[in-house]
Amino acid sequence: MALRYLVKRLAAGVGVLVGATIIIFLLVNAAGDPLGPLEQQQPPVPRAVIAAERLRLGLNKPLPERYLQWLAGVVHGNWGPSIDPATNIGQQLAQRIPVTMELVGTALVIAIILALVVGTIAAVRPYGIFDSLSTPTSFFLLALPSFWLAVLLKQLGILYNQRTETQTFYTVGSSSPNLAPGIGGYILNIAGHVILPTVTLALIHYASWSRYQRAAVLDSLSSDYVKSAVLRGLSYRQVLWHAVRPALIPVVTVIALDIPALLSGTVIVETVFQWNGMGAFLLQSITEDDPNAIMAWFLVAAAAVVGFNLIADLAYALLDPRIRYGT
Amino acid sequence: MEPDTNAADGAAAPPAPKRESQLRSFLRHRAAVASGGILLLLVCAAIIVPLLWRYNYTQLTNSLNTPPSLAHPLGTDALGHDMLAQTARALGESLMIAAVVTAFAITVGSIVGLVSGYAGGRVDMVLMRFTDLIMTIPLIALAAFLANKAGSLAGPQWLHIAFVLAIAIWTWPARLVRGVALRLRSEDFVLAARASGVSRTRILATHLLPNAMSQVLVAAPIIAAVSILAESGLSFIGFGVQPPDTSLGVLVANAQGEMFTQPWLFYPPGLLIVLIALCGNFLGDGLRDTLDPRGAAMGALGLTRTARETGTPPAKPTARPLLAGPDIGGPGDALLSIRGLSVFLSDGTAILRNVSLEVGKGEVLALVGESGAGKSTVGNAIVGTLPRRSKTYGEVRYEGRQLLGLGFRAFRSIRGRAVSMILQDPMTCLNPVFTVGRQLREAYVHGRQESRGVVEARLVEILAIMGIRNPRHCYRQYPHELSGGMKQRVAIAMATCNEPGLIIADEPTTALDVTIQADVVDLLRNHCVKARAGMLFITHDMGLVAGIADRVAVMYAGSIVEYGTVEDIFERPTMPYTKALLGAVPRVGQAAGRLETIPRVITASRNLNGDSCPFADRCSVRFDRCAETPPLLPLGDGHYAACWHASSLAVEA
Repeated sequence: MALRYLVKRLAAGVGVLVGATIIIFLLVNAAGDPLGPLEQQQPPVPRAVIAAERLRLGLNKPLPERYLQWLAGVVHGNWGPSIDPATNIGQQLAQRIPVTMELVGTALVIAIILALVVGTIAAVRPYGIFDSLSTPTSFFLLALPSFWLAVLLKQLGILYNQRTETQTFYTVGSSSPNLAPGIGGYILNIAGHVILPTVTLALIHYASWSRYQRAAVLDSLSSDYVKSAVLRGLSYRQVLWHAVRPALIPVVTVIALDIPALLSGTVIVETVFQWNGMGAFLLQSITEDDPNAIMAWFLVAAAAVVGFNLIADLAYALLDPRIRYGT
Repeated sequence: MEPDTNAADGAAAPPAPKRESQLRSFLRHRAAVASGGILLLLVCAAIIVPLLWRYNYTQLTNSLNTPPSLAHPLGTDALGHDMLAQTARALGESLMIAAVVTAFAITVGSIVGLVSGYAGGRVDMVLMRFTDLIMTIPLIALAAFLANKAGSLAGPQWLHIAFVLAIAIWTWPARLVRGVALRLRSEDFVLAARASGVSRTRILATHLLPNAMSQVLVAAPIIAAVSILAESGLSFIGFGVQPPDTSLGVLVANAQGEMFTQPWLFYPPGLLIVLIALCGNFLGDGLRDTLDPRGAAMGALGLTRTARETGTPPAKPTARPLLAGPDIGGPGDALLSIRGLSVFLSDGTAILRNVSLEVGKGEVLALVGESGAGKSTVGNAIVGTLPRRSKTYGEVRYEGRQLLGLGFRAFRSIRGRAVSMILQDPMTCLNPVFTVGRQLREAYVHGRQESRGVVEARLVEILAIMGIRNPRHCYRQYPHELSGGMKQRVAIAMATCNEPGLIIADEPTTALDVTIQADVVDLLRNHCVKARAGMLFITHDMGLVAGIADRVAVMYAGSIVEYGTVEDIFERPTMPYTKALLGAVPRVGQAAGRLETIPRVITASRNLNGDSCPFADRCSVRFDRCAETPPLLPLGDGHYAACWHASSLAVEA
């Protein structure tokens, strides 16, 4: 039964992805002719050059045919020609996706752990000392622009390096040649690059998640099943688990819904820390008005959103027996 | 301000909100009001400063990179721009964009949401799938793409950016309004309007729109906060407002390398964004609490100790001594003995007044009364689950041990082992994410020492005794797979598996079908007889009492008003309230006629503190003396009643 649920969710995910290809294709192709700037260039570019470019980019065919051709290409891993003949979109993606995944994955893990822990502690003693500190903090973080926080942390990292005369934090790029010897040096090098960008991203997102977790645990704590657990004479820890376990279910929804926002955040954080990830690729593609590259980016983002939602569905099935054994 | 509250059974009784205008209730949210004020001030500043200030935002002065001074209150940048003029312009642009985004997103979102929710079916599905798809595209990516395309269009730049952001944000209010419309669609007043032939557009405009508007109003400041964050982010990465024009995001982008060298460039624009977003969120919160109060207050279970006060409970405003507690029962060797128990909520409201009762081994005491009489509070006081920070006076002794004021640990050794409690609603008292077996095993004291197999065999056996047909299967099931009656049997199994000396059954049958009620009552009764356990059977249903109880305590407004054996109460009811309760029970053989009801509702506990008999204003036989609270008067043979009419009887006895 659980399997049927997962197959159903998987089918829905594929459906969303197909829908996304249509929306993305229409959006990018309806928004204007990528050769517009070329045609208006002064002195005029020879018509033959423009016609050749049109042919290379496949712009001479009707829209539905172009869509199908693009889709068929994408399925086979061919993302279509870039406006810059020297760029291979597929290669770019292969290089950049891991960079961004590192950022998103680490930030997600930090943010989830932080949200669950902070939200739960705040809920167990509502209006207690911890709650009175964590609630305004999360309100503040919710209002904090990610780019401002990113710049702030970046500059503080630089200041720390200067003060201690070390290279603890790396504030430019996602990696650098490792100078320190040994595995310890390797780990420190990686951590030095990753820590500031991921903390920026995690802090921005944990805030709202911890609010949901707090509300969910608070709700759960005043439920009959927790009272019943108390009345059974369970230990404090057991009672707490009775409250926290069901409260994990609503938080999964919130986190899954926030994945696109997390991807937005990476665009900004990558800009500030000059990572050569998907964010930089997007901004470059938009500036160059490169339709196939933009479509590739949007599609990868849509796939990431669908993928994370599938993980969330899986988490539901693990957390909630009503879904696992549901009808 | 004395909260006007009835002591609700069980959970903390939230003070019933007084009827007051929405404006007044909003004004009580100081953070929200202050936020609104700050936003208004910022808007004014963005309008007035450019008009009055001597520098224009494009003007280049001769002072480069100067820190704040009298001439330049916010300093100047590397080109010599006066930062006050720049910041005011940036603030104006950002606020204007946020306002247009909010207005546009809400208008489009509301229309789509209303149509989608009201039409339902296929239209709803198509529109919602569409918003799903839009929402898979990260906001900043969509906005950057569209803003780049819009760059070549005619018209003011800020308007382009506003529309671009609105296209990325409208899905949010759309989903919100759609939810409201979907809910309202099946409400009576909309159905009635439809049945009477009102056109669809009119229903949308006159019924759904106003109701959805309050939700939209709550969301508006939050959408504005999101827009300002999105706008500044977009401008920061270079796809929003373009120099020479400026916005808060542009200012931060320009200053990003100068955080330490020229902090006056970096902090003001950033902090302004934070301030605006913070105010938007607070304003939204305040509006929600005012317009949609369901989202607000929650209570948490008191896992903490309830304070036990010594001395006499406060008896304000009257100085009159409290109702004298009857000297009920024998020499105090009863299983459970409660004497002079009073409970006050943290705000000083009395929810229990000087209650005394006893339960012997194998005896069933029924605690009856209507909702709000304080019956469940008695149960909660025994097991230590009173609302947070309530105060208790008096004694609750189990086998001679004082229970009031014990901490969580001390109570643990009693709960589920010596005293167990069955809650009213079986649908909610089992944790939905754990199996029945796991929850039973936790409850079972020997679950730790013995092997899993032995424990399971024993618990399955107990389930079978509870009348569960396939106990082995049930043991592995999750609560949602069981019917209400089954769940209550599981709950009873849980409460009885350790053979506790005392069982508190808090309205165990109220949530069940009538056909199952009798079974459950029989189960409990049989268990008590067999295990010689005492039981406190809490109910508002007089019809159940005769079948199960040995003695009865009638409660009214936090006090016991009559106490006696089942025969005393049913054959010789004395207190008018008891009579009224009995009159409300249908009996076989009774001439067809109207069932009696008790006029009006239970007296607010506030009046409890007054002088008169708490039942006086609902009583049909009230006379002069009822202006004074009657004590529980002995009528002989352990029968007591708190009624002046009984005093003549008392003298005879």
